[in-house]
Amino acid sequence: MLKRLGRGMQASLFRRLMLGFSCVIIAVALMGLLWVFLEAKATQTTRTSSENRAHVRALLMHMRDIAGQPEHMRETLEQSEAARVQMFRELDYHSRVRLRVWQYGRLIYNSQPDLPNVLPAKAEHGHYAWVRWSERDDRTGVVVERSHEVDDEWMLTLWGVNFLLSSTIFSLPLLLVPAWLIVRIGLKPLRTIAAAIEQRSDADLSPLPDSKYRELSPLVAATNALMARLKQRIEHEHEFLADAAHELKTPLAAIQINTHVLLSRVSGETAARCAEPAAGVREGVARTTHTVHQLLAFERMRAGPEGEPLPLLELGGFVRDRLAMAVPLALHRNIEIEFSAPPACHLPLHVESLGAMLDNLIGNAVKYSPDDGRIAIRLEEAKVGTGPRLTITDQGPGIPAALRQKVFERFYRILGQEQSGSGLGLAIAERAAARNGATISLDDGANGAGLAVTIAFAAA
Amino acid sequence: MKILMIEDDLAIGRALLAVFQDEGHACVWLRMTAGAMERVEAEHFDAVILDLSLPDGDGTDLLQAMRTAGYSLPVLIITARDSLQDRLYGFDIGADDYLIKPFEIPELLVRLRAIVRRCSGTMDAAEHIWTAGAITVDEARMQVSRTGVPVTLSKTEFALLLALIKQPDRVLTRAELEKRALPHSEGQTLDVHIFNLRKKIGETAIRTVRGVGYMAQA
Repeated sequence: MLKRLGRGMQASLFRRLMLGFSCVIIAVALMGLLWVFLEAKATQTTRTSSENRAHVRALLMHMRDIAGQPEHMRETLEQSEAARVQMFRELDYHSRVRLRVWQYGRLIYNSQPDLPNVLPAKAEHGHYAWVRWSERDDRTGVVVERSHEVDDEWMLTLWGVNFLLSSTIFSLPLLLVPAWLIVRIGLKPLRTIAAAIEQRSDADLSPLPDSKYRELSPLVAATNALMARLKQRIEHEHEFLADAAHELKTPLAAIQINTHVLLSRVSGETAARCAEPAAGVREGVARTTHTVHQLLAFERMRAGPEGEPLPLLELGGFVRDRLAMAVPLALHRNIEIEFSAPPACHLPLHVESLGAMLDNLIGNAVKYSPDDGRIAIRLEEAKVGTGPRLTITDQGPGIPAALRQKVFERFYRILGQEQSGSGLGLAIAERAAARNGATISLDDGANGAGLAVTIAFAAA
Repeated sequence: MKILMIEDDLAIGRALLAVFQDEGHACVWLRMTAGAMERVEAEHFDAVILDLSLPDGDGTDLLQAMRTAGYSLPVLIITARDSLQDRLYGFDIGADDYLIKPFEIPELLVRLRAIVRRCSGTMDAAEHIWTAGAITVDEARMQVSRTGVPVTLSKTEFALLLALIKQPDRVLTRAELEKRALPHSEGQTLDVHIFNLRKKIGETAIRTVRGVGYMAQA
C-alpha cells in the first residue's frame, strides 16, 4: 500500500512529456487565437471604412441630382438613414453612424446632432474608434461626410470567443490521444532495459546488450561500466581472499613441519611427555587449516564464471567417488556406509561446489554418527515434475526442528557441541546446492532419530 | 635420494631441509626459479619439490620449461593453491603429484617415495611386498600368501587383490576395479571374481561398502 502510494507521488517521465506536449499545444492554440483576433480586428476596420466610402459615394451621386432643393435633400437623407437603422436593427448591429451633408458650407443634414464635431479616430476610455470619409462635388458644392463607429467588441463577447476557441478545444483530445500513445510506445525500450536488469541473478554481471537507441546508449553504457567496476571489485576481493588464505597456510605449514622435526628429534621419556602437547599442536593446526579451507570454499561458492554452461555429469558416479574417499575414516570407527543409486543420473553440475557440498555433508554424517552407526546415502531418479534427490541419513544426535534454519548461518554452532568444526559446513552446502540449482533441507532420520539431509535438484 | 627443493618461504624451506636431513636425503634448496634450470641440467636429482608462488615467477612456468627441455624427473608440487583448476593444471603440465599446504610430513615423504618409484620403474625388495591383515602380496613374483600359506589366484583375482591392497586406506569403486582388473568385462562379472577371491583368501579380507565398492581389510 505504502509502495503504491509512493509510486503515485513519484515524478513521472511520462507525465512530464505529456505535460510538455500539452503546453506546446495550448501555446500554439493561444497564438493562433491572438492572430485570429488581431486579424479580425484589422478586417473589421478595413471593411467598415470601405463600406463607409461606398455609402458616401452613393449618397453624393444621389445628392447631385437633387442639389439646390435642401428640403428634398434632407428628406431623402432621413429616409436613407431610417432604412439603414432598420437594417442594423435587423442585424442586431449596434454601431453608430453619423451622416452630415453640406452645400456651399451650409449644413443641410446631421443625423447625430448630439455628437461633438470631431470624433475620436482611435478607441480609448470606453469609446470606440470612428472611421470618417467625406467627398465633395465641385459642380454642385455638396459635401457628404459619413463617420462610422468601428465595433469590434462582438469578438470579445462569449459567443465570439467560443467561436474562435471551439476549434482548438475540440482538436485537443485528437492531439493528446496520439501523443499519449506515441510517448508510451516511445518509452518502451526503457521498460525493456529495466526488465532485462530486473531478471538478472546477483551473480550475473555480464554487460547488457547495447541499445540500438542513441538516447539509451549512455544509460546502458553507464550501467555496464558500473557492472564492470563491480565485477572488478569482486575479483579484487577474491584475490584478496586467496592471498589471505595463502598467507595463513604458509605459516601453518611451517608450524606443522617444525613440530614434526621437533618431535622426531626427541626420544625416550621426553618423547612420551611431549606426546600430548604435540597432539594439541597438531589438532590446532588441523583445525585452523580446516577453517581456512572452509572459508575459501565458502567464498568460492559465491564466485563463478557466469554464463558458462555446466558440464553434464553422472551424479551417482560422482557421489560414489567422494564416498570412496570418506569411507576409510568411517570404517575406523566401524561406521557402515551404504549407497544406493539408479544406473545413471546425468545432470548439469558444477564439479567444485558439488564436491565441497558432498565432502561437508558426508563428513558431518561421519563426524556425528555414533561408533558402529550406519549412514545411508540414497540417490533417487527424477520423476515427473521433480528432479533427482539425494538423501544422506545418519544415526547421530540430529538437529532440533527449531534450529534447522539457524544451522545454515555462517559460524553458527549448536550450543554444547563437542565436535570441532568451523561452523561453515552447512553454509557451504547450502550455497553449493544453490549453485547446482538444488535446494537443501533437513529432516529427522529413520524412525525419528538422527538427521536426514535432502538435496533436491531442479526438474529437467 | 637427492632432492631439488624450490621454495621461497624461509620458515618452510628451513624446516623441510631439516626433515630431509633427518631422513638422510641430500637436498639442494633454491628460493627462486632463476638458476633452477641450470642446476637440473648440471646435476642428477631423484625428485623436485616445487612451490608455485615464487618471487621471480611461477613454478608452473619452470615445470613447463623442464618438461619442454625433455627432463622427466619426478616433480611434486607443494602449494597453498587448492582450487580444482590449479590442481588439474598442475597435473596437465606434467607434475607427478600435488600436495596442498599445510601437509603432514609423513604424507609428503610417502608421496615423494611413490613418485620416485613410479618414475624409476625399479623397486627395492621391500617395496613390492604388500600386506593387509593376514594377506601378503609379492608383486614382482606374483605370489600371494595367507598367514604364510601360499594361495593360488587367477590372473584377474591377483589383479583385483593387488589393486585393493596397494591402496589400503581407500575404497575402490566398482568402476575403478573394473578398469584395472577387468577391462573387457561387464555387468556382474566383478562380483563373481570377488566372490571367488574371498573364498580363497577369507571372507573378511575384502570389505564391501555397499553401493560404493570394495576395500582391503587391514
